[in-house]
Amino acid sequence: MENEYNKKSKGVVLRNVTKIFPSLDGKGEFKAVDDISLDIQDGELVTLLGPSGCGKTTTLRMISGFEYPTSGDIFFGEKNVANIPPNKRNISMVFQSYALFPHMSVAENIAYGLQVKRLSREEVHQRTYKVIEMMQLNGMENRFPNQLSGGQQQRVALARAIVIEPQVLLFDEPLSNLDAKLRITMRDELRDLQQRLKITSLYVTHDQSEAMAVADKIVIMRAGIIEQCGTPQEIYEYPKNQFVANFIGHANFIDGKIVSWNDGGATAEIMGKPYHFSSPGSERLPIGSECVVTFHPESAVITDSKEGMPGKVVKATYYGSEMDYEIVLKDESKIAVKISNPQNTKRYAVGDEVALELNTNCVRILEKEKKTGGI
Amino acid sequence: MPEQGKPLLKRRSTTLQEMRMLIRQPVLSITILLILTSLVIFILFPLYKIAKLSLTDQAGHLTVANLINVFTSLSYRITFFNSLKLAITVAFLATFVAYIFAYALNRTDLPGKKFFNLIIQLPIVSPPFILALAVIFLFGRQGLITRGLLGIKNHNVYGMHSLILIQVISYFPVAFMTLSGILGAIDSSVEDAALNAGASNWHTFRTVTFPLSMPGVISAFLLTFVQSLEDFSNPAVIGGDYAVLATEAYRIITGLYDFNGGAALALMLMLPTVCAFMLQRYWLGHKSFVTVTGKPTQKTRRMNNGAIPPLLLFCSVVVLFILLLYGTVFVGAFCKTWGVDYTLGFSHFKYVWGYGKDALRKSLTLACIAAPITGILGIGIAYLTSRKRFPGRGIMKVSSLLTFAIPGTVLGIGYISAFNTKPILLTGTATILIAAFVFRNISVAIESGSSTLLQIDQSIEEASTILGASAGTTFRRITLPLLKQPFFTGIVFSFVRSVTAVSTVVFLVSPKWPLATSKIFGLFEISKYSDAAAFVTLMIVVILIAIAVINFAVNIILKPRIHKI
Ligand SMILES: Nc1ncnc2c1ncn2[C@@H]1O[C@H](COP(=O)(O)OP(=O)(O)OP(=O)(O)O)[C@@H](O)[C@H]1O
Ligand SMILES: [Mg+2]
Repeated sequence: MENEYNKKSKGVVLRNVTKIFPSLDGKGEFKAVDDISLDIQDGELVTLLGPSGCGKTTTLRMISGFEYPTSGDIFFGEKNVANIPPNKRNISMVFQSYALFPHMSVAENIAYGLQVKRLSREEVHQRTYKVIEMMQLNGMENRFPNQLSGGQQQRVALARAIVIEPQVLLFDEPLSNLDAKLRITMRDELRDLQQRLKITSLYVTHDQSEAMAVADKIVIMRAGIIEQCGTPQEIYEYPKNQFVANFIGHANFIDGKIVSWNDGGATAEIMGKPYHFSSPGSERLPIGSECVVTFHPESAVITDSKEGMPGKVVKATYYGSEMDYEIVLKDESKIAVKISNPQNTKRYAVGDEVALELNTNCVRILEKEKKTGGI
Repeated sequence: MPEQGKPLLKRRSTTLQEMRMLIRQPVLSITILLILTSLVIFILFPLYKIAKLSLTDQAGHLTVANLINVFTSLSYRITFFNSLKLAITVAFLATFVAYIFAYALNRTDLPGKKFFNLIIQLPIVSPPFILALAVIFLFGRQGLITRGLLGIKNHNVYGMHSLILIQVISYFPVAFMTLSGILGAIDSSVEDAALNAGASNWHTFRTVTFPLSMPGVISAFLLTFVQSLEDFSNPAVIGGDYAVLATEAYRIITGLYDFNGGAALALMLMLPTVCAFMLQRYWLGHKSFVTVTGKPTQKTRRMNNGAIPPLLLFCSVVVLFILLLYGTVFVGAFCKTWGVDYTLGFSHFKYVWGYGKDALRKSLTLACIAAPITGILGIGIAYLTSRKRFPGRGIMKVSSLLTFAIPGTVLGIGYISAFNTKPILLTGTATILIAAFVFRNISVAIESGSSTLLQIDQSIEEASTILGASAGTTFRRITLPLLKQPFFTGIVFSFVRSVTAVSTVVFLVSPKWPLATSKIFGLFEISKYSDAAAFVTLMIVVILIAIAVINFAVNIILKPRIHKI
């Protein structure tokens, strides 16, 4: 079965795709998607991640054919799909609301896509039950959707989408209707399935941990444009700008100034003191320019030493497995620090004067954004 | 891999893309084309014909004389104001009666609610002429009350007073349904809040309940206003000298063969109906849904126990009067000679069977053909306009909205002037009657289809599409089964209204295709009231049987079944 999928599936390519909606008052226009280009390799799972209204669903709907790009092209493999209607694109979609057919049983729901392709009765039967088996829906085939739990409905929706062996599988926030625990189970199951079947997939979500867990590649979007595209590790460890750093890992930012560059490392001045960082990222800002020093909460520690940047604890929360601090530095910047396994380290209380020490390997230097990259 | 570096924003036209998509979905495009063509031919073209006729003279020259004539001629002006006066009076009274009923049945613990609800549905489903017959039987020259009880000789039953009585009873149930929806949905906690603040019941009603139901009141008023304006059958048989636009247009066209004048009158009739319709849409669209949240609230608080006795008295009197009217016609159908010889017998039925059997059969046949067409076309239009984007969608929307607002008389005049010459020569055929039935009654199917579609998540259909189903398959296998209820409503409504139609068909019947209602109308013209009573009684029976049969058939066809895969 795996091989069948492999033969058929090819990547998806978006070239300079723009979508302009007439704005709601009918006068102006609104660019929901702005000149994005994207490569999804054969068998890859790519997540589209971004704040609400950034154009994720619109992008998905253009790939599925429910919306036409205002300009630009979409290719499945070598084929431009501009003139192919949604029902001829050989894709599947898992909807946020599941969109199960309420008047059909589970088996009918799953068989529907095979029936409309006019396959023989035996083939429909055989493939339907194979997927029912695979999705552990045995014994429920004659129930109607309103007789299923949320997780079961989700499974039926997934079964219905994969049974037709689509070239591309699209997900629009498929897990957002489930409770937190079930969401984790289902996302692992889903990732497992996608890995086994190797279907080229595009997955929309605005939950960053979900994106990290399922994706081969993450695409971060903001206001219709792609901010960064890369593996979860690349995105987390080498964010291209403050927006990405903030969105994916709630990174800290401290203002600084570039002092010098030396074989891969950089020295930056922070609050009048120079600090050396061994792998500041790929962007070479000119010497003397303003920059932001960026690091994740777990890449710093707080100590009593004189070495670090002086600050004051304003918040301390104990979670058992970890401890979260909020420190205010001299220049008023607020820094979050996460200490794992706090049992082994000294604990500080609100009001304590402390020093912030950065793990200099894990610090990146980014260009200072004009506007703050708020979400 | 495709080449990189395309020029930026090489914009594609959306219309062009929609067209291209349509070419790839032949079934969908053909359906759209067929529906658009039928709407253009059977809605827009007749209206265009009316506009053209009213702007030309008999020799075909362009002129505004007809329109000026309508405004300057004293008799036309009187007719116009007659229509308005009647419609406003009826709308006012019907809304008033309906409000009392809606309040009593929705917001108090009135005993016998089921019974009241049932009886006031009667005027909605009954054939035309019944109430006119009842009034003649009771208050006419040989009237049971006027002559029999009160001994008045030669009481003139014809005229505005009878029209008001009949139209109020005929149309208040429609107003009642509108008001019921709104009064039933007002959250009682709003009233409670006022009562807790120390307001009296009456004060609460005046300052809280009534203002909240105001959109419903306006909507009900406009609805009954339009119905009274459109009414042809009652003014025709009991209006006497009180001429209204609908009957006057009929007289001018069938009596004087003055199509230009008739068309001008039709335009005059359309003006207030279209305005009222648009106003009603506006009110219902913008106001009522604010209070009618659709969220089921806890049981509506029943209040005003002190108000129950007067409400009960009022409702009982109205309902008893309705029963008296219907009962009179029923008994009248069996009486030998009303007012003279009350011996019971079947003589009128025997006569009517011979006289109208053929017409009744033809009425039923045509209605049976028209009803499913209406249901399918109406649901199709609702589906396409609310779910699909395609060139021509605007035309489809506008012309389907027009079907709500065109009075039957106007449609009849439009058809007879549009289809009496080549290229579309249809006068005297069954086709023109079927088309009239379909397009006169399609609005209910469109309306109920659209409102159901609003409740069906669009992604259900998209799921079907993306699994490979064509638009036709999606419609047939997903949308249609979910639209079973409005489909049924559309079919039943269309059937009943087709069998009982008068205003449109009086222009279109021919010796080859007589219809039951035109035959009854004929009986009125020669004052054979008892025979007419027998005829309408017969029709009621036939209609009830037919509804049961349609109900059964639709349920069989659309029953959800589990198919073993
Ligand atoms: N049919 C439409 N007409 C006009 N504007 C639209 C239309 N569809 C989407 N938009 C606008 O385009 C923007 C992007 O919408 P989109 O649905 O793609 O956001 P999203 O990233 O999926 O957000 P969310 O996470 O909330 O689902 C939004 O500002 C939205 O208001
Ligand atoms: Mg979305």
